[in-house]
Amino acid sequence: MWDELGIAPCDDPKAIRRAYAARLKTLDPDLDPATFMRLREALEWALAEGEGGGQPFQPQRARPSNTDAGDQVWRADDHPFQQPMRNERPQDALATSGGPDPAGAAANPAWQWLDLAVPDQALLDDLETALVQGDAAAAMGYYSRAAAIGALPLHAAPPLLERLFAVSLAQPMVQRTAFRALARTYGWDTPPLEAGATSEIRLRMLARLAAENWFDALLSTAEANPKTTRKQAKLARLILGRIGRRWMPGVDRAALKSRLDEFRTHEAWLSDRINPAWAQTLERRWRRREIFVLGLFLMLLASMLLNGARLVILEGIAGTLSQDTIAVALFFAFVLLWLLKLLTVELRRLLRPTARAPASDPADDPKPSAPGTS
Amino acid sequence: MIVGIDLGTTNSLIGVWQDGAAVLIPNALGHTLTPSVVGLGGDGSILVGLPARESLATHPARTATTFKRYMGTDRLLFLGDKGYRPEELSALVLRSLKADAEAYLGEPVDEAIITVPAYFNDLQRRATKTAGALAGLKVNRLLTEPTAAALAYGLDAQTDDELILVVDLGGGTFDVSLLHRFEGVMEVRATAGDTWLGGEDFVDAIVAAFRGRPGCDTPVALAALRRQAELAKRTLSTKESATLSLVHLGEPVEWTLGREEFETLCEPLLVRLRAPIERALRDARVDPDSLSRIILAGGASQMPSFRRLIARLFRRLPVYQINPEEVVARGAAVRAGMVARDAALEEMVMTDVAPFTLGIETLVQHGRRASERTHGVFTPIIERNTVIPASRSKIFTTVDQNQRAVSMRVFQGESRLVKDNILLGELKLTVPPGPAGRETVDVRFTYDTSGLLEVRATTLSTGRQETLVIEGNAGVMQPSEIARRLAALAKLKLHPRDDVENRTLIARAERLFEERLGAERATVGDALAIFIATLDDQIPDDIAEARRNLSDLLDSMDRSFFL
Repeated sequence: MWDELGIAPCDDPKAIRRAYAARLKTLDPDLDPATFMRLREALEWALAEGEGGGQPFQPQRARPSNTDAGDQVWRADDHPFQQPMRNERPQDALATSGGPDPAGAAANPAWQWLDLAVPDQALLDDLETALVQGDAAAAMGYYSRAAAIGALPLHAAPPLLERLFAVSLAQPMVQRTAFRALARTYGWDTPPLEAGATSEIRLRMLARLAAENWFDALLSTAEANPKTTRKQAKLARLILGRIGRRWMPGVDRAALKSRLDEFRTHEAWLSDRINPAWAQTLERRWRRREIFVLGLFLMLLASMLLNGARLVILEGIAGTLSQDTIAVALFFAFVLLWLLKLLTVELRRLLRPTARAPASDPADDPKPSAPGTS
Repeated sequence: MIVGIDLGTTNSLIGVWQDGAAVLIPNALGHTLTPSVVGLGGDGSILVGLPARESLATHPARTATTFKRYMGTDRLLFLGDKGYRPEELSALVLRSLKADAEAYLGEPVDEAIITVPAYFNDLQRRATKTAGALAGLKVNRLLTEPTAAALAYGLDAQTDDELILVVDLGGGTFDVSLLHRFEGVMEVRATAGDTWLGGEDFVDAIVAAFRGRPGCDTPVALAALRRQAELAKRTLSTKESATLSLVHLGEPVEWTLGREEFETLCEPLLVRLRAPIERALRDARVDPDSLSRIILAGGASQMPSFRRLIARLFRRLPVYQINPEEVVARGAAVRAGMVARDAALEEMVMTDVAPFTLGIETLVQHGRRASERTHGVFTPIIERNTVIPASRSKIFTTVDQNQRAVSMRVFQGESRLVKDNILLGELKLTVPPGPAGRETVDVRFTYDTSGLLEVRATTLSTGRQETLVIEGNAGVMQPSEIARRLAALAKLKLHPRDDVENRTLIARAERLFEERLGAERATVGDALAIFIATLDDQIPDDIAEARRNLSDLLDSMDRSFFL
């Protein structure tokens, strides 16, 4: 690798880069990409080697800038404007940065825009108070104001955002549009590419956004297509925590179950948002259809049984009744009775007045079949 | 001759490397900025630039603007009753710029370097290349806008070895690039951005705030409001408040917009500036304090609220001695000189990075059962901000018993699941059947400097290879389609170059006629009638004088004229 760069092994990034630059100038990356790629690889390897693998590119003061919570706690006294500006006066800046006319810069009206009188600290204090008090709407407003005027130091944003999102997650559907826009800006609405960049808050954010999406989709389907009652009723039941033994076909049971558990723990608002009357109507409609199908099946079985009974009686009269025939007849009779029982249960459920509130809190739901408790 | 072109959302410029300096080429009107607006003239000819922008308010249906935003999509924009793809409209702008350059240089221009926002994706870059081809230009390469800006500044650098952050807020896009300049090498270390955030969005914010008021209901009224909003945005860069003056039901209406109020309107947009900056710094692992310079580029970077945000964010003053509206075109001209191997630039080399992560869709098997799988997982092969040209490979195995083929879908994006990323293409490779996991496939991605991605998949046991060069997609035109459109575009005539000035004056007078009332309107109407009559007489001296008169009159009346 060092041969590729044409220097002896060293750990001085400047020397490595100088060797790289010298080599680079002798070749054309367009015409000879393979050589360039080898050279580039050598450079990156050599830089990483020189730095001992960590922070390969930046020898300067290392300040972690990861998004993980807890690693870095933002404090108000980190704020830049408590330290002096690097360039005290605009005209100095112009002079040092090689402005076209440093002498005339003092009178240059172009610098008047730099308004440092904006009360940063007051704004940040307000934001801190709102975060501590858990007032998500106010915190969102302060955050957006602070970010818009640049009052937040560059590294303060990720930890602050996490707190902001945490506060917002504690409340159902607060400032939905702003919340989503902020999540989208920071890429918190999609799962992260790097496996390490995941915090609990971030996962919960995803769950919240997924819940909202799911909920929106559910509502829009229900409004657009009132006939697909069965699926909707099931979804409504799922959200309300009353999951029966029957599952929707084509749905990954385990995934659905874990997601529902997650929703139930953190997103209790989902069930609050369901109109009880609507859910009940859906459920009724669905049950009615089930009873109809069950009834049809029952009639079919009954007719078969009657036919069987007739045969049994005829055979009894003829004196050729065998034990096998009796066993089959008894079996059919049991099946009929069992189905009848099912039908009565369903009918009773359907005909029962709204004694049990359909939108009962899922946590209070005593049914053992609910996945939250199983 | 090779030129550098900044094909912008609102304005386009063309520059050339001449006698050791970047020179911007003026258009027929003598301006270096040519508005990226295409209009249909009354006689069926195509108007590009200022005359088209002037007729935006009077003939919104016959004018198209901000088409750069739709590059890489199938969307059609209408001029009159004929729909054009964004590539075609861009090609018309490029053709007009090319004509300007040829008139200025006196020799044919056949090659160009066109700048694109750093955060343009593959489809958008391809569309830009197509636009170049449709304009009869060989696009030597695409240069990213922040890099171009850094190149323009790189010439007068005092120190060697410096880290430069370029913050480019253009008409339609926001880009951040971190560059490292050392030993004559300009190396892009990281780029990030937002392709839907730019000056136009700030104008939209003003329009949205005033939209509900009476008098903004017709398309013509909206176009006028938009123009006033644009003007107000510019005024607020220097003044504390701006007025929007419109005509409603024959009565003049005036609304004031204070700077405070404007900044409140912009807040949601300004908040979005932060994340790309943070990401670029994080990707390059650079501490903000170690940056040597922060360069502002793009017309919208002249807004005080934007400059203040950047200055406060970095605790120092950004640099913008080179006009932010021209800096990208100057950089493109420098690059053109570099490609042409100009002696003055012999000592400079630059390297660029891939702005997005490229990878394929995979399936993750958690357990032994067939159901224990996660579908649609995105596996990166070339990570974002890898220096290009780059070539990376990864090895994958089959997942099913007796699997006979492996299908690879190539995606671009940053999300863990492919459904949130952009599909670039698909490749199928046959493998010999066998137990799951026995056959291995090597997938190699090669990304070259012009942004062309080649995917090569090899079955390791048989050595069988399949290659895919990503170019065909819904938003990208096929070569046959390009040839057909080229023929159709060749039939369109640009408005004669020497008549552009007259046409601009007429369009401007027409706009003023619609904007004003009473005596002013009558004055404009009379002057315009005289001017058109003079044009019909075709006596050059008279025309020149009439043009001067009309232009003076319009200047005296028109406060809202901007270039």
